[in-house]
This record gives sequence, structure tokens and C-alpha cells, in this order.
Amino acid sequence: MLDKGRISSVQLMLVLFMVEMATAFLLVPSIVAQAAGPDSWLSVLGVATAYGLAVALICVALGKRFPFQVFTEYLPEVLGRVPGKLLAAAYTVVFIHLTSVVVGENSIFIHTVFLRETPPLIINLMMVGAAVYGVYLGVEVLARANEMVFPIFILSITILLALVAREIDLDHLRPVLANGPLPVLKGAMVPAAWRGEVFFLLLLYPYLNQKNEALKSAAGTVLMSGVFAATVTAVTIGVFSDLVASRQIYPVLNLARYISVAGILERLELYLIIIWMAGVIIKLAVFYHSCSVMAASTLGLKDYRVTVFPIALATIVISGRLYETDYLKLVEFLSKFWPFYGYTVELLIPGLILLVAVIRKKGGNRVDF
Amino acid sequence: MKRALKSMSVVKRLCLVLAIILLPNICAGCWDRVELEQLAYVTVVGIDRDGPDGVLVTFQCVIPRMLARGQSGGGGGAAPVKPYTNYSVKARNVSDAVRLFEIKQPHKALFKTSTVIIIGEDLARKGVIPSLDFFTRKPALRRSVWVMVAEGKAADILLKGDPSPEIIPANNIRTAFQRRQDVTLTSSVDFGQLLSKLERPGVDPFMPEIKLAPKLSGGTAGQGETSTQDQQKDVKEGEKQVLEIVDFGVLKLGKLVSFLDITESRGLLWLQGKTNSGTITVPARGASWASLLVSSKRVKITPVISQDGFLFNIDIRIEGYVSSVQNEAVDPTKPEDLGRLEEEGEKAILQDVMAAVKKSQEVRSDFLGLGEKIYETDPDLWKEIGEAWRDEWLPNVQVDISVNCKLKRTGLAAGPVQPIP
Repeated sequence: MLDKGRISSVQLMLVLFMVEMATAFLLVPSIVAQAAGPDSWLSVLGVATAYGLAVALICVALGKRFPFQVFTEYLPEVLGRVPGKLLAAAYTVVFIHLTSVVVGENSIFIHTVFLRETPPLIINLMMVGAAVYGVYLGVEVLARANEMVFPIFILSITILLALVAREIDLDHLRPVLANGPLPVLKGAMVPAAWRGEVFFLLLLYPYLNQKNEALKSAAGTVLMSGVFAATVTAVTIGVFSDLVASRQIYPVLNLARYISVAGILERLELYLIIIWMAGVIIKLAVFYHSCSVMAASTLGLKDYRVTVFPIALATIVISGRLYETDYLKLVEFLSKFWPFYGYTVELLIPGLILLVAVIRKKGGNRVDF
Repeated sequence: MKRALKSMSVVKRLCLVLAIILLPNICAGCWDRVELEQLAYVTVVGIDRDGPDGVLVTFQCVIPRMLARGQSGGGGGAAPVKPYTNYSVKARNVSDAVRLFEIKQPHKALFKTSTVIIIGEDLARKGVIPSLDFFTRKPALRRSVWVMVAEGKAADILLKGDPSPEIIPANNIRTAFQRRQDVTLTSSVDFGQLLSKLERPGVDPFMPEIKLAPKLSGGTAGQGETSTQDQQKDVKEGEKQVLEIVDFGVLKLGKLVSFLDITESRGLLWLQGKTNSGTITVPARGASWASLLVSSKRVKITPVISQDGFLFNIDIRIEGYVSSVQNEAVDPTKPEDLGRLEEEGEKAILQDVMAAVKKSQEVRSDFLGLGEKIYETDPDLWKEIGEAWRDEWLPNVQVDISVNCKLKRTGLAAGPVQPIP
């Protein structure tokens, strides 16, 4: 094990929740509404959660076979040395790209909404700096920091939604299933890829102190984020109606700006930006931690910390080259490529690895959940 | 502290010193700082049609410096000056206008302070969507900003409208909305609501109408007011007129088609279920009137779809109390008299609602959202008739309105005052 930290099952659940929700709550509603219309909440609640549970099952099964190793450490064991190392390297590269997508999501949001003149590089450096510091301190510190961020995150969004609740027009959520189930399935593609980020379980499993509660945490986090994301989506569509929500790039931000209670409680979008930044720092930290552990294990290093800094720099450069402040390019990736990309990385390959491990009888033989 | 410093390694100590040296540089602010003096605080934006494809945009900005002087004024002997100024810009579109506006005067336009967007009648008849596009993209403009349609030109309202008793027209409008919603004359419509209705099947948006009305009395207040501050051709004091917000303008597929009169506007408000303590005055007995102060409890519209066409059951529940009876023969404490008043109230509301429905059929604009109810109950049917709904189906729909008015209190008095012989 590259990191000596220990995390509890509750901490794992909260970390996994934050990994998905930190960016999903803001970006997903608009993308889903484009495909699923008034039924978006069904996509987010039903289909995406089902997919998330499938990913969770496979990840836990894999984790149980190799309880003290991260995903990339046992790949060579399962597939043979060369193909295993190659796949591990591929995973590292893929996750470095995904991390730079998160960096891009952040700089685009802050740039379009908030700091128009500040160079995106500065925003990125600050966010990545905070995340990297967390990674240096190890997974245990990340989990504990998240214990502080999580309640603030949930509470702030709940308060925002409650304050805007009087603007909801339930008629906007009707008719249910007007065009049959197909749009619901189509709408679920993007949120499902996000829900599948429970995949990070494979990289956090060795640090878990009560291994038998892994499935409970993973399933818990999938269900919790399903309910949470569906609420956010339903409120967004209830307030704006589906077409208007799909035209906005950050409908949840507009939700927060809509709040006006008795002329006193207004301009609450600042809270949204605060929780966004807190959440994204946690998300980035988990991504960086996983990337550097993957890289270190692929290269056979003793300490993952040496890889953090180069990876952080690489993501800043990649996100600067690919996205920087280019929302159109980012949303093209998120809505067209990310689902397939996500399904492959999160479900398909781990599923195949599990299959091979079972056939070749590698790892612990306990597959009971 | 000293010990802490000693125990630090040299590298750490160097870092600390470096941080102390570098931190003050941040204090000067960074790229996104905003200097309050360099902003033009736009409170109202008026958009008019100019020529075949241009717009005339009027920005009304407050001058904070004047605001402070106006409040403390009086003793100093300085003539009171208007704390706001108007800039009119002819441009291709609103975004272009903002650029020209920023060229015309040195400050950066700040839209965070905007209260209202007023759209001129001509432009609204041509279509509101193109000119509003800019505001959907502007991050600084929130969707809770109000939208209104002007009778005539929006620029006239901004240039000639008299803000008194407030000192800034935007505040005047804000107060009017907050007050008028309480007396069931109009209701505010914000930008978000307008967009939601535009992009919703089977419903057309409506917007409050703003117009200039002659002053009630030719008061001489503010005679010393000079208009030197205004860069625009300002009108003389005698021409200043009162801003009046009473009725609604209704749209059809994003284009203004008609203004409602006061009965139809109230009918629309009853159907929205948003009235809050509005006064209705009904005939009591003989030649006298009684006033009822009522508010909406519930509105339910259920469509009945049959072979012959569409029937809408509209169920309106109203609750309120008697605010005035004006006739000693009518005693609201007696159940039969109260019952009669309730009946008269129901009749009055029914007439309002009927007028609104008739208007909707006449101008073929579904501002009551009847089509939306069909879309919600039978989306497949809507796919067939949606295209032709406004022109072919809406004029022929039947409505069955039932109003239930419940009077629960009689104010502070029980029976009317009776003269004793």
C-alpha cells in the first residue's frame, strides 16, 4: 500500500458522494433536460442509479478479491505482467485527462460567472494548489476534510432549494413520460457516467478499515446521490420548465439567483460558488490522489507523493490547452463522449477484469457480498 | 514565536519570509476588482424599435453622488437635482447598444442594479424574443428582474415619467408593484417567468403594462427642479407625467397582440390565483354598494376532452371579508344578507373571468394557459392539435366557471351603524 492512511466506511461514503456531486449538481440538470425534458428527474433517479449500483457491485467484488491493493497494483497479477502494466498506464493517462476535465469545469464556471478578468491559469493554480496540498497529507486527511465540507455542501444546497421552493410550478413536471421511456434512457446517459464515479472505490478500498461494509457505503452513496441529484433536477425544472432549463448552462446558479425572500434574502449565488469551490477541491484532491497512486504503482515507486506535482502540472497544462474557458468544447465532451468513456472505464473494463480474475482464480476467492 | 521560528528548518523559514514579502502585493487587488466610481448603475432599461431592424435603447442610471445630496438637501440652498439620468442609444441590437452606451459616457454599465426592463409597444408587437436574448446571456442580470411592456415608447416613459413621490423612477415602479399586488390591480412578471411561459406548450405570457397618465393635480412641488444634469433633451416640468401600472399586455407566440382592460386584467389575476386582499365592490341592495376584500384560496382548471371539442371546468375558491356595506338595511351578521353578498361577489368575479376568457379567444392568445392543461393531461393529443390550437381550437372552447366565495369576517364592526329615531 502506498498510502498508510485509514478511513472509515462512513468517510468512504461521504468521499464518494462528494466525488460525484461536487460537479454533477451544477452541470448535469441542463444536459439531462435537453434529452429527457420534464422527465429528467426520472433519468437521474432511476436509470443512473441502477447503473451506479452495477458499478458499485463490480467494484466491491473486485475489492474483496484484492483487499490490500489498489486497482492498478493487481492488474499485472490478473492479466499478466505486460498487458497489466499497459492497462495500468492507460488508466493513469485516462484519469489524468479526467482530472484536467474537472480543472476545466472549474475554471470555466468561475470565469463565466464570476471572475471575468482573472486569467483562468491563476484560478486553476489556486484550486489545484489546495487539492495537491491535501494529497500530500494523504487520504486520511482528505476524508476528514471532507467530513467538514460535506455537511456544509448538503445544508447549503438544501437551504437554496427550500428558499426557491415557492417558485416551483408543479405543472412544469407534467406530463410524465409524454414521449415514452426512450427520452428517459437517453437523458440518463450523462448522469449515469457521473454516478459511475463510485468507481473510485477501487482506489480507496485498501484504506478502508471495515472492509465488510464496503458495499453498504458504495450502495449508500449511489442511492444518496440519486435522491439528491433528482431533487436538484426536479426543482430546477419545476422553477424554469424543461426547455428553459435546457437553454441555460448553469440552471442551478440561476436558481440561486432567483431567490428573493421578503426582499432581504437575495443574491445567494455566492453560497453556491463557495460550496462549488469547496466541493471541487475535495473532488480534485481525490482525483489527484488516485492518479498519483496509479502512476506510482504502475512505475513501481515506493512513494506516491513524487508523482503528485508533475501530474498536477500536467493537468493544468492539458486543461489549459483543451478547455481553458471554452464551454462549448467542454460540454461537447461531457454530453457526447464522456458517457461512453465513462462506461468503458467504470463498468466494462473492471467487469472484464473481475471475470478474468474469477476464471484465472486470482486473488482471494471470497466473492460473497 | 521565537522558539517556533528556531525549530523551523531553513527552507521553511525562507518560505515564510517569502510569503510575508509576497502577500502585500495581493492587497492592491487583482484583475476583477471593481471601482465603485467607474460604474454606471443602470436601473431601468427601455428598448424600442428604431427603423426596420434597429433598436433604440434607453438606459436610466442613478448618480449616487446626487442621491446623497438630494437626501441631505434643503438647508444648503442648492437647487434639488435629479439623481438619475437617461441615455438613449440607437443601435443594431441591445448588446451593440451597451457598447455604444459605454462609448458615450466613461463608465462601465452595471446591470446588477437593474430593476425593470421595459419593452416599447412597437418592438413588442414585432416580437420580444430577439431583444431579450442579450439578457439571457448576461451573467450580471438575474432572472428576477421585472419585464414590462410600455404603451407607446419605452423611451418616453423613462424621459417623461415623473418619479415622485420617490426620487428614482425604478423605485417608484418597485413600490407600485409591491403595493398594487395587494389591491389586485396588477402583478409583477419577472424575466424568468416570461421565459418559462414562452417555452412552454399551450401558454402565452403576459406582462404588466406601464403607461404615462396625466398628473392628478397640478401641484407646484419641485418647481425649482432644473434639468441641466440631463444630457438628453429633457421635457419641461409641466409635461412630466405619472407612471401608471394597471393592466396587462398579452403576447401570442412571443409577439404582443393586445392590451387588456381592467376587467380582463382582473379576470386573468383571479385565474392565476395570485390575488391577495383585492377589493371588489358589488351592488348590495337597492342603489347602494358593498365592498368585499377577498383573496384567492385555490384555482383549479380541469379540461374535459370530448368528441365535440374542449370544455374547461374552472373552479375558483375565494375567501375574504366584508369591508364596507354602506346601507343600514344590509346586515352582514345575518346569514341571508351575507349569503347574498357572497353571491354578488361570485357574480362579479365570474364576469371578470368571462371577460378574460372572451378576450383570450378574441385575440387568439392563450395567456390563460388552457392549452397547457391539455398538454399535461393528454400529451399525444397535444402533438396533433398543438400547431393549430390558438387559431382553430381556442376560439371555440367552452368554459364552465364556478366561483365559490366565502366571507368569513366582517371587519371590526358587526352590523352597520343604525340611526335611532
